[in-house]
Amino acid sequence: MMSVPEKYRYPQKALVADYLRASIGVFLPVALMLFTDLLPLVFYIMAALVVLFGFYGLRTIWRQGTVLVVDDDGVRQEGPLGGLLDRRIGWSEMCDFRLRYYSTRRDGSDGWMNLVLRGPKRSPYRFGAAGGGRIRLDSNLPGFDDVVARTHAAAVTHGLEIDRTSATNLASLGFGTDEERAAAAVPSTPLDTHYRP
Amino acid sequence: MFTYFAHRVLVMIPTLLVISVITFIIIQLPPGDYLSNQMAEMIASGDRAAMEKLAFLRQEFGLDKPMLEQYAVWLGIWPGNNGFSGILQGDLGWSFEYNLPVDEVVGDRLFLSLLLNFTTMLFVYAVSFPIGVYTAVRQYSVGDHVMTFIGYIGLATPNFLLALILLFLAKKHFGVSIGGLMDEQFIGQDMSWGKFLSVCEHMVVPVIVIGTSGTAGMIRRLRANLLDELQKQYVTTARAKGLKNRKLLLKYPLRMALNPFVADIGNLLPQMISGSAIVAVVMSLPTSGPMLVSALQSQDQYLAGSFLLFLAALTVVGMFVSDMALAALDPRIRLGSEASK
Repeated sequence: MMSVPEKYRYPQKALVADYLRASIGVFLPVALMLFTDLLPLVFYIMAALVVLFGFYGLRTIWRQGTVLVVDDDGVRQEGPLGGLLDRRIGWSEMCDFRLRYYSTRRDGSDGWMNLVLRGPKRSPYRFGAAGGGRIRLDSNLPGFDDVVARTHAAAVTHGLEIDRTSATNLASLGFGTDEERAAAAVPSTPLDTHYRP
Repeated sequence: MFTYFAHRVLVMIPTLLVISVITFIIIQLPPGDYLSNQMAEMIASGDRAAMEKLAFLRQEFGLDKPMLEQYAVWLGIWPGNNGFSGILQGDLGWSFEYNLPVDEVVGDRLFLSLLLNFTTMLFVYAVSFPIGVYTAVRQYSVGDHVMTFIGYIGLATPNFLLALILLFLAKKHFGVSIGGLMDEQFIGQDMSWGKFLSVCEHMVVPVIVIGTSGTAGMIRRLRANLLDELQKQYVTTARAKGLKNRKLLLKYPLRMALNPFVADIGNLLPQMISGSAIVAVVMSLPTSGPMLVSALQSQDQYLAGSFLLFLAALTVVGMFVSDMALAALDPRIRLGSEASK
């Protein structure tokens, strides 16, 4: 029996912090570049910051307009730009599953998870929802845990090898097979204070 | 990883700003300033025009302005007497003690400090990595005991003492001239092949002196981490499945044991910089250390501030590199005891 496709999208509220970061990262260096006479080296560093956070901002805008669809066939990322950057990875063609955890704090708390799914390599001349490519998700996506659970189940079903880092992160979310949990060797500690879903 | 990179870069901006504020406050903390100290001496010696001169110089260097404005001008985000002319514009200020612009006083010192500390860091990693792995894999062997003994001596010997001993030995047995980072004829000259070779030759002893304690500590840490990993069940399982020792070591336990090794890059830099200041005094090295000490003593605020800010920026960059390497190496969630490290 076919199940109903689940749709996930980043709400504006979840992206406010990202917009704020992009704004600070762009406007502060631009203000310094415009209103002060910078040393050439400092000027180039500021220009690099503008490029970095400009791209970060564009990516945040793109994320806001993107919908992630998970169904029985696989996972799809449908975004704006007329489907130019859309991705589709069928469960059977998924060739990599990586769950990473990042935190900017020294004690590693209050970080975020990043899920990367890879399909077969895309031809550089094929755009749109053609199969393959790479789908990246951050844990500020509401329903992130559900997506992880479903993609992980599909990865296990299709015999995909899960690396130790992903296994540890899966175990910390309460997922993973017994073998993966044993390999990860982490206690099942509540994540309330350490992980921002 | 891109998100992490962007977040981490963004964290660096307020960090550097806060450091610059703290640096500025520290150099302003002692009562008076370089000018008032000088003027006190002039008044004591009967110079009647001293007060007018003091007022003129205070106005000229902006020392009569509020501290916040002085800070903004020094950083280059607020126009001073000469428009925007601060650190961001490459103007490090004026050294009252030397009566010259700070960048002229500093000359090659910042570059030589950077070169010395970077070379020391390479030395620390190049030496400690193979020894750390060897002593863990060959635990309790003769080699392990010898290396452990040398490591303890390295940890226990003060840098300045080691500097004196090595200087004596280098002069007596290898004919290396004592002190300095280059032969006298190259001082003040542009960089040339001869000068480069002279710097390399003179850098051997300081690098060993500054790097020894760091190397010893790093060997102990890598050995302990690797031993922990080697005793875990997955290693036994991999061996039972027939995985060759070298492949097993390189693929799993070594990678895990490298985490603290990589994380130490950030801590190593400030340790080496503070350690190298004392060594630099003992060995007469033309690095930033001795000049920083002298600038702080005489309240030469712009000179001291520039040095402190540079060293702090170096540390922040070191931490950034270390965090990025750690995130690339092992982006795992760390809970419980590990989280508090």
